[in-house]
Amino acid sequence: MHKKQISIKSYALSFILLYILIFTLSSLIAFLDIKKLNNNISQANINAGRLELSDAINALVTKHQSISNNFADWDEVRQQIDNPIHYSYWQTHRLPNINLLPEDFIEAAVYDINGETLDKTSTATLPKTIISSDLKSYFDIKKNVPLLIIISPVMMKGVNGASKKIGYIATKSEVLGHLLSIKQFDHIKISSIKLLFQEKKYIEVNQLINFIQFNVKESTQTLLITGQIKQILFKNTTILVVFALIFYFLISYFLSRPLRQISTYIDALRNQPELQLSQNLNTNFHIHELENVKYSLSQYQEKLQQVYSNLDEKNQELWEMAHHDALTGALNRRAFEEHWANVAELFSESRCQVSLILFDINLFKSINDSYGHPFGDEVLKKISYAIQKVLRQGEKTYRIGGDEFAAILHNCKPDDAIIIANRCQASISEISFADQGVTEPVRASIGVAHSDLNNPTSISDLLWQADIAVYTAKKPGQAHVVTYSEKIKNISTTILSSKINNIVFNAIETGDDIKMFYQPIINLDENKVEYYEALLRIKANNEIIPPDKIFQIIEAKKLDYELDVVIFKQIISDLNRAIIPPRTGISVNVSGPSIIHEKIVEQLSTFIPYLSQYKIVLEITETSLITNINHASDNIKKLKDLGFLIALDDFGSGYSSISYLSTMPVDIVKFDITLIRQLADEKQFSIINHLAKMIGETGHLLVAEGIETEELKEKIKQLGFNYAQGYLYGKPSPTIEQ
Amino acid sequence: MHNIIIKKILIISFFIFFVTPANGETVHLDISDKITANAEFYTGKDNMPFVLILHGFMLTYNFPTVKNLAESLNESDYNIITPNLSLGISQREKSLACEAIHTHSLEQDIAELEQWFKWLENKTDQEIILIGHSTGSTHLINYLSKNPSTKVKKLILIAIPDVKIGFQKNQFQELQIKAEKLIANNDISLQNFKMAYCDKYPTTAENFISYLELSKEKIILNLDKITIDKTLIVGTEDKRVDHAWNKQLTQHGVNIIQIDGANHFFDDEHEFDLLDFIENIINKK
Repeated sequence: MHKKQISIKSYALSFILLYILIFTLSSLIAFLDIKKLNNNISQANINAGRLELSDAINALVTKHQSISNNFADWDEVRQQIDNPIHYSYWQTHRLPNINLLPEDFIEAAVYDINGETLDKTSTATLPKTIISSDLKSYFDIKKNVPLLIIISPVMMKGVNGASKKIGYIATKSEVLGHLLSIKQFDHIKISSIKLLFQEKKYIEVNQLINFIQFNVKESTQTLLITGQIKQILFKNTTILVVFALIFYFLISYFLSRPLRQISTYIDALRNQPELQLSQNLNTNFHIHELENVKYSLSQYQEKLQQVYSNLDEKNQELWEMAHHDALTGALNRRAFEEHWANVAELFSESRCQVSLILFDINLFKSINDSYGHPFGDEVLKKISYAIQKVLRQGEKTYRIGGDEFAAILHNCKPDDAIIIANRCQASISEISFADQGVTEPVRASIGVAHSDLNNPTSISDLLWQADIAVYTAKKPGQAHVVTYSEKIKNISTTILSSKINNIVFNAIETGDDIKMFYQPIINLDENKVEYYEALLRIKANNEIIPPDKIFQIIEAKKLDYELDVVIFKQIISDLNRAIIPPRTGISVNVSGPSIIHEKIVEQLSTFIPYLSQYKIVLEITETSLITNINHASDNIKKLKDLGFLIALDDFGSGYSSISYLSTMPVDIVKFDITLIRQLADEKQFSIINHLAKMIGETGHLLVAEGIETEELKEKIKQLGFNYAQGYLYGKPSPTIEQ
Repeated sequence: MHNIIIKKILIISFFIFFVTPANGETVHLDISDKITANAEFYTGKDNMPFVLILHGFMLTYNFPTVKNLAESLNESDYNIITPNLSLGISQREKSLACEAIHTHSLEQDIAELEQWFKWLENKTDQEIILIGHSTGSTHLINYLSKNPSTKVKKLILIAIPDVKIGFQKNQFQELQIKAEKLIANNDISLQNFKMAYCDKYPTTAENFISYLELSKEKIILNLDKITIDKTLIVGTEDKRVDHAWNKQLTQHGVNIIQIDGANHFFDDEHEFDLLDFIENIINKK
């Protein structure tokens, strides 16, 4: 999964944005610090304002106290204390007109030494009586206006310099109004001052500040500094943004653009490897390293193109090698399968007529065995050439197996295909091997199958149809060229039966469903079981597949060796389970292809541990042994040396030859049932009698098959057969009575 | 004239650079149970005369004309006493305003002067010279006419004021009649009278009437009773005196010295002229 990558432009943008973000954050922090500083300054302003107001009040109180003290020290006050007879007049007429008490002094009163007011009838709002122990100044709240009440003692200087108290004065002044009317505050907005006394009547001097609400002036210096800092921040931000944009442009132009061009070029190379860098990337980059990259890319591409060129050549060679048969020069099975897949696809799209011709060289193994592999190779070459020669232009010969060839014909009518197949047959027949000293003609069985234009799936059936046609052509009495039809379909029911096919294939693949049946072979002299023949049965879904059907498929699919191996394993398993009684024996059928197989000795070696207790006989059919005698002899010799006995099976069913028999390294000759059944005929009896005696005299042990009656039993005993096999002694059975 | 100016400059320079201003000692004198009067006493040499300087109407010994004169004479080793008339206010220290309640009378003032004379006689055997400024002069004339003393050798009167000055025609008589009626009715209430330069002078009728003893007529009568050396110093620019009447005083044994350009208070350079003349008078045998 290709993970999406981020472009350098995005990175640059991200870094710039990150930088701006960090700057913005730091600016924000600075801004918050400024704000905090402002708050601190504001708080300090408030404190300063409070202090200022407090100081102003204290100064005013002190000033009024001083004025009151001066008033108390006034001669006329002493005059009134000494002689208060005219006090009312003095207070009414004199006091209001003196300069000693400023305008904000609303009222003043004089008291005697006992604190009693001099004016007994006064309607003044000042206290009537002064308590000598409490001369503290205070604010008297009237209609939300604080009036400062100051009480001062009146002193008289003594003769000896000491002073003595002779009375008191009290003054009432409207301090705050006066204060607000004249005072210019540094920190406080005078207009904002509010007095909040609520229900208070009496407030101590130092508490007055707590009942005054005010707003402070904005510090001009702070505003110036804050404004200046904000301006600096704004300027810096502007500069940063401008530089960020310039930086972004420079990165885009000098770095991102060239890289993008290189990237685009490399992307384009994917689809058009032949692109030339000099034509598609001809702009000069301004960065040395990028120019180097461009140059290196150019060099790399040049070398890569060389490599590609070499690789193409090698690939072509490899393809040729992979798709051609080295021996014949024809296309091989791989090429056939690839081509066939294309044909199937093409057919499903266009439904053009397709014909498939399969060629199978008759008795090719025998040819190989008889004349040697070099000759066999020569046969293959010449047949390949003979087929190709007949095919039309564009049509190819495929070697799809050891002795199998194929040809695919496009847009070819069935009749034309048959004509071509017959021409091929004729061409093969005309091949002369006289140069190699062989005068026998080589034939091939040819199967032809045509696609059915009305059936879209017919193309997939062509292979097995042609296969059946070849199989049919190989049958004795059949024409060498057979075209698949419904008629021959029935002949090959077994092969067609996909169900049986599946069962057999599965049995070979897994070993499941393989079941061995054992039929006793009796020692006629001792009248006891000499050994048992292991007979294959495949049982699936409670259905036993008949051996003839099994072997039809095995032969058609050439799975002889694979089946034998599975059978060996099953017999070993049965031996391990002691199904076969000890000190008897077992005969194992070995097919023709198996006995010449290079690994047959190795496979059969698994029986060696049982040789001490069991007689193990390998039964090889007469036909397979004769056709493969050269290759089989080595293996048979090795097996005999290992302790196996070799039996020639089905003797008399084929082209039995006494001369062959004399050269065959067999221990036992098993007369085919067809010969035994002929014993009723006297003439045949005499021939078989002589044949048996002759073979017996050469040291071979004789086995008679198909003994079903006592009469037949007596006859074979009379003929000198050593062993007998047949229903008289027992049918093939999965179990053996111990 | 030039010599005088140079002399003044020298004196000023002396005072500024060399002379430590003399500081008097406050002397308290219990006049009655409630009233204590103060005086400033400047100690001079034992063999030097004692000079009593009395301030003007409602003023104090701190009034510059008095204080400067006292300090200057003390610099000349004279023993100086400058009593403050209490004017009914114990330990009065400030000048009394016209509008203040005036509970004092001439009798009380003279009684206080008598006590100070007693204090002075107890203090020294040296000859005594009396100097009065403005109404202080009239108080001294009044006292001395009633209490002649052998110790008192000279009486120096500075700018004797005319108590009727500033009054409109018949105004003084009308007030006098009003006061006499009030007295006759035993009315002791405060009334607004006019006294000297005070247009508003709240006092009782009796107290007001007492100061009529300081009229020009009474002064002449009293001067005639005083036999010691009497000198009147008057500024030519003094608006509060009756210059014509002053000239008549020569007929009553008063030597008159006029200082050109000086006003009632002998401000500025006239202060030095005043001092010169006074020293000359004191030193004159």
